[in-house]
Amino acid sequence: MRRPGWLPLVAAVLVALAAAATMVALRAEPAVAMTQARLSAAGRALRPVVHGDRLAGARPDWALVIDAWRRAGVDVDGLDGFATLGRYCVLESGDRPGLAGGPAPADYAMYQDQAGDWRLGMFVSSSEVVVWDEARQRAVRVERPALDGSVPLPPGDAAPVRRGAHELLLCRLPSWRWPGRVDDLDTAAVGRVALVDPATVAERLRWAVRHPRDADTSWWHAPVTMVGFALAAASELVSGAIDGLLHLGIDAVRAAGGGAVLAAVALLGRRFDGHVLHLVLRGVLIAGALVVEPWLVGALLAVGVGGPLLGRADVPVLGVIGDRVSALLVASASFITGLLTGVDDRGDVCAGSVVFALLADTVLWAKPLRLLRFAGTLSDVVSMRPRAVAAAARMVARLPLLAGRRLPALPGAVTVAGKAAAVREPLDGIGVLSAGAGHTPDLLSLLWRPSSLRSDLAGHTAALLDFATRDLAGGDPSWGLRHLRDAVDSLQPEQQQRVLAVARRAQGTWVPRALRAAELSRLHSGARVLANAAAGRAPAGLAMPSMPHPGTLPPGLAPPPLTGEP
Amino acid sequence: MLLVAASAAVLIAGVAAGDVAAVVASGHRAQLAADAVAHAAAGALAADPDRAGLSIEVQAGRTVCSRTGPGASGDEPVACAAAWAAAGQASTASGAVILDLAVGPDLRDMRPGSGPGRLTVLAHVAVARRLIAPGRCRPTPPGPRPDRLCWAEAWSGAQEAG
Repeated sequence: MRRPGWLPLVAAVLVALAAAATMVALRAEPAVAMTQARLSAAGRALRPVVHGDRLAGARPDWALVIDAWRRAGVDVDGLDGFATLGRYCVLESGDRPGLAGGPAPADYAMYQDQAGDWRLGMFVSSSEVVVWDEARQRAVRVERPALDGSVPLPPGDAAPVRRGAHELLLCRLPSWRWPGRVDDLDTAAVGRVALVDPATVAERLRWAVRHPRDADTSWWHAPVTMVGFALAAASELVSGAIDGLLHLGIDAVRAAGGGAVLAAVALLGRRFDGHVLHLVLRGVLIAGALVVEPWLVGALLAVGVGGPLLGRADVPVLGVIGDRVSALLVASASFITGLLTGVDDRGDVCAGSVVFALLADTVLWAKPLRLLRFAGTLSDVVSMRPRAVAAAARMVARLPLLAGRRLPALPGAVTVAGKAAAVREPLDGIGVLSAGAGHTPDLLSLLWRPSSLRSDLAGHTAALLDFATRDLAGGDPSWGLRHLRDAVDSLQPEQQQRVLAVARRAQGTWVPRALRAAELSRLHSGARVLANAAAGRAPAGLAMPSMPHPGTLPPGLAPPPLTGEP
Repeated sequence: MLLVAASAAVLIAGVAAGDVAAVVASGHRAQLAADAVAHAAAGALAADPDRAGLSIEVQAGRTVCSRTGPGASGDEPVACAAAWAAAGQASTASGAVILDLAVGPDLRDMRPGSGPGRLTVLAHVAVARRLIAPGRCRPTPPGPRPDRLCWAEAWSGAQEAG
């Protein structure tokens, strides 16, 4: 059967239509959101103001403004002098508005300084301009009236030096320079602002801080939330079990007349200001290290002292590096001091933390007895995480709170900045215990961090293997392995040789390799902790928050920490 | 003697009445100043180009823009500076001192699937009472909890409407 001749033509038309429809459907969105481009440019110009970035070059103000435009997608070709930028400017007067609708973010202003040079500034709002302060050598944000001299400045406020009050030009780039060649001046993203009841706001703020939200909306958010929920449920079960057991134990101690024990534990819960002591101990540590390693520590000390000096002297490159290195050294010294002594640079150091840290240090340095090879493993566990043990001690130190049936009302989560406590949450012993037990999984995770699980498994497996094979391989006789030795001796000579060969191989190869891998992994973990300490962030392994996200509220809004003292 | 006693009584009563008036007026001024500061900060945040980033920050509980020291910290969001600048101008114009300023999310926008949202601001300010009776009032509030005899405190909240 012969096909009609017009069929290919129809098919071609249909394909063309489909292609056209596809092109229309998948075409790039036209760049109409010019408000975003303007706001992006203004935000970029604000960054040096907020962060105090230094700007180099002969005309840093020009570089600042033009770079902000460039990063926002503006065509800045040819915008390099007054001849090009000045043509878009008008001089505002009383009967003639300078710019239609008033200055908008990313509009610019030009003015002459005392030397007669034209300076450039960028509007970041309708009334604020980012300009270059020649005296302070940094970008500043000034009110427009301070720039054009229309109002007298309050005492203490300084405006950039201008030649006169009438040289301020208000300028706006032509539309074709903006992305998409369209300039949308609609800044109506600004909504209405209403005063609301501060108590309600405070309550909502408290709730929001206690329930921080991961604003990420990616696809894995829901699965992670579900897994997190399951883990939280498991944690609740564990917490409940520990809660019940602890409560039973406390009741038993109390029934057995163990008030003295509880009182002794209460001493561990006492807190003191550790700032001065930490400073002294840090000095002692540095001095001791200087005696032991005069050259190395002396060099580090020189860097620690000289770095800030270079930074204050504004020495390029070296000043910045020296400043940072010095901060890192000081943070490291503080970290090591806290690690060894338990005395942090904080205002509420717990005595229990200090005691347990010192005990951990004792285990670390003495490694007593060595009756069991497990002692080495145990000391590794304790010495690698003395602060975690100290954190656990804090919770233990709270147990005396259970001695009283009902505690005095603790200030609640909201004491709004001096306002009488809006909420008071009386906590009884069970409540405190529940709060403490809720952190038990956290404490377990501190002792056995998931991130170091592999290194722990490798290390402890190697220790076990070492314990079992050292004696067989001809090393030091191990205590308690006589039966194993006898069992091997009772084997046939061929089997005995095989077992001993495996033991020697384990001693010579497997154990050292596993121990080395474990140590390396722990070093990496420690490096992360040090990096966090140097950056001023509380390492996760060093703090046990008594409430969710402490420090995220301002001092007046922050809930008081639970202490061991009623 | 009687005349002296009567004059003293009148003087004391006058001073007391003046102080009472100062206390009442300063409380009112403090409330107005707190409202102005909160409103100014919320307005500045509403217009700030980095408000979306700040909204995510506060929703994640990573910051509330509060400052414990005189200046901004290095890792403070850019929008916080705008809020503090606006609040500072409003407080200066009102003759008040900002004791604290906290920025938080609007719970209406903290729902699943939602990104940045509106912001709320809580401002706490102090205004000098300027009492007639001589006292030991300091020119500036010494800390987050100024002397209540010398300083009137007030707090206010503002949020984006709609």
